[in-house]
Amino acid sequence: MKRAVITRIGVISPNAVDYTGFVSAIFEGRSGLKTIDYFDASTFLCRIVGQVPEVDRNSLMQKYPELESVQDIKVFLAAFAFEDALGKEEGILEGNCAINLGTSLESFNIAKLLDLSPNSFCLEKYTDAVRDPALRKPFLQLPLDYFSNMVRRHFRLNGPAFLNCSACTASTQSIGHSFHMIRDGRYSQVIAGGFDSMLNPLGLGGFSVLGALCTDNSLGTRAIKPFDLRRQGTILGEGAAVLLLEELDFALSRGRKPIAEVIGYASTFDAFKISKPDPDGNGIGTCMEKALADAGISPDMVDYINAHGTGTPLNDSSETAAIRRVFRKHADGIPVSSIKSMIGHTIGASGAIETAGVVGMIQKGFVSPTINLEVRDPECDLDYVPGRSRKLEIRTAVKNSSGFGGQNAVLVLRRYPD
Amino acid sequence: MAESEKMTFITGISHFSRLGTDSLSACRNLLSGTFETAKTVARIEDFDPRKKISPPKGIRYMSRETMLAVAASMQCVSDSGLSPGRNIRQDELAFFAGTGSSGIDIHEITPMLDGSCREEDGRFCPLEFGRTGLSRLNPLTSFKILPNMPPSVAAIYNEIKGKNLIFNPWESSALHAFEEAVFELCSGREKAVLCGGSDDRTHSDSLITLREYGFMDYSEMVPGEGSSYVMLRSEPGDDHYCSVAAIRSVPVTGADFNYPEDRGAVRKLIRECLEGSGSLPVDLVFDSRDGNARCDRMQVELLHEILPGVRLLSPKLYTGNCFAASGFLHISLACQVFRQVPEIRAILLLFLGPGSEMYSVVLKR
Repeated sequence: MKRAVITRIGVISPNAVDYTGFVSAIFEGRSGLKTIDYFDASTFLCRIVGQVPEVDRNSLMQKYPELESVQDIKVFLAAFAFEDALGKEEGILEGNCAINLGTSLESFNIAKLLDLSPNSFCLEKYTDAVRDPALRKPFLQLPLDYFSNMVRRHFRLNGPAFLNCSACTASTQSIGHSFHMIRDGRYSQVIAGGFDSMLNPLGLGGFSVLGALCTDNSLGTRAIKPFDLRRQGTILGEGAAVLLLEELDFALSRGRKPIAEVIGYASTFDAFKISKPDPDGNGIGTCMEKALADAGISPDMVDYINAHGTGTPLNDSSETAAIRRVFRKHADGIPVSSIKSMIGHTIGASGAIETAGVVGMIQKGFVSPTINLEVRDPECDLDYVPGRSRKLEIRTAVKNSSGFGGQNAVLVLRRYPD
Repeated sequence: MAESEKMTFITGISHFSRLGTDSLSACRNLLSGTFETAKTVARIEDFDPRKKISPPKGIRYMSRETMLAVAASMQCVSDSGLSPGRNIRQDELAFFAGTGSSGIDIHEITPMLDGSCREEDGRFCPLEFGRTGLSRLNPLTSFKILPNMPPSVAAIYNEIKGKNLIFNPWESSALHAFEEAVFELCSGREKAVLCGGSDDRTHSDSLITLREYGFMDYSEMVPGEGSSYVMLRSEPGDDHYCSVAAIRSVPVTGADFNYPEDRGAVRKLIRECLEGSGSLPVDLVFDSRDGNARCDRMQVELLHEILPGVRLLSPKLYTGNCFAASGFLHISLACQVFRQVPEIRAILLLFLGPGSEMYSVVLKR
């Protein structure tokens, strides 16, 4: 079996505009949460979000003219992360490179509906208007694989372009699926990762009516409290991460030094309920067991677990139960922390951004904290690294993801060289 | 494509499209030569989810696409003889699928839009949306529009807990699921994969989107709805429909997203797929004609050049173009053809829908 290593990483997140900055930010426990300023949300229930810092789109549009007619910010986020990972070097991508990205949902350009049919919306009026090609762009919704195809055309790649739409597990699955494809010998390079933004009126509003978000805006950066007894819900974030996965010998022969290695992956379904995780954590627990088996390691060989850790009452307790069941007596000795405590839940991008964070922790020898964890919950009784990061040499780490619809995905990562 | 692709067997199928709500009646309608071609939009007129989905109480959470996916997956699992939790472990049945663009029937959100207008000019105002419009949004809308919901809900109804992948939004995306399922079986990681596609391009949001993308310009393409699943196994079982002899794909080049236009690439795709099957004698072709004149003409000319005299069938002219569901609708029809027409030895399926790749598959008896 071939070995799959990570050789390049790019990130844009609410607390950083590149991978190096992101690793520093999570080491410092720096929150990226703020009051949303993309639009006036003063009448919204939840106004605290993980919004990326102001960045200059013009240089991207000069390099990728296709972006000029795009309004969907998540495409720009994907492009920023891609440039951070791969934009500074020529010729790194070879012809049969595949692309495998994850995200959640199209952004629906709700304002356009009323721009073309103001006041009382009329479908026929809108449909007639878009017969005129000049009024078609920006599109009402861009297909989710728009960015993947843009990269493939730009770099003349011949490999497939996968778009995984598995919501909160999408980009963890993209990385894991890419790992299996390389291990099977099918591809030598895969651009993997994820991108997402729901920080638009329909996204933010839709999530708030679901009851998934913390609506106490007075909490500010403390609004998301994974594993805390007083946790009230999650906070939406946005961002992107791109990782170049390569077959080990392929990368070494081209002088590229691996940053870390992917050694195991699994995915499962809860098959429980549409909107709720299995309270006993059976789905994510089975997923962790399968991922460890895929990696060929036992639970006592894991040094750190990066939790899904959304800050919702149900997820945090069920994930804790699952970790206890899988790791048994070793569970108390393994630090578990949530990057979402600092950047919010970036949905389709969360797996990739947080995997990038885990790789940074492996490289630099620390575990990032779960910030805002102040009051212990008896049902969440593991070592969540509250408040401050901690030095730790990590050889093997686990990354968990779970999502709407009951999908679960787990990655196992190892230091390179081991 | 893996050398051992010949070792993948289809042991269960399902079919929901305008042609029929089971694979046998759909196949008979296709072969009859008298079934009327689709016009305007291709809806399934006789689909009552309460009769096809058990228990029905969850239907209120479901979009039309999800209803079709649940019904089709249950029909396929039943046809395959597998029963998760009884004769196969729930976490040993994998589930790979393709889904369509998320979509809302615009009429469902019109009250929300009307409550979100700025008084001065009637345009969208976030303040009004937060104040009034949002209160008119059905909280269940989020579950309806997430594109991972059709297979996720199907997994709940079928009690499937295994490995999963969900791709989006094109015909080729769903065929990625098919190809990856074959690889999983060939690698030995999985023994059984429920694999399928679902899509509904007949609702208003989708019709707007297809028009904006330019697919309705100079084209008679009819958007459709449907869902189909197949059960893939690495063992033939007592009564499998057929086996997978070859799968090939080639990237679609060109601006944004469009139908394939590169004649040479399509020729290469068909030839390589036939070679990959070991040059099996192909008795029937399911082509990809859907009313896009240029692409339709190109594929017919190429198929006559490469396989002169072979019979061509065009399911999309009857089902409409069901995008993420099309691939599996065709595969399930082909499986049923093997049962109904004993002299058919191998079938070539060609997929040239808009999207990132074009695909070709050879199935053999």
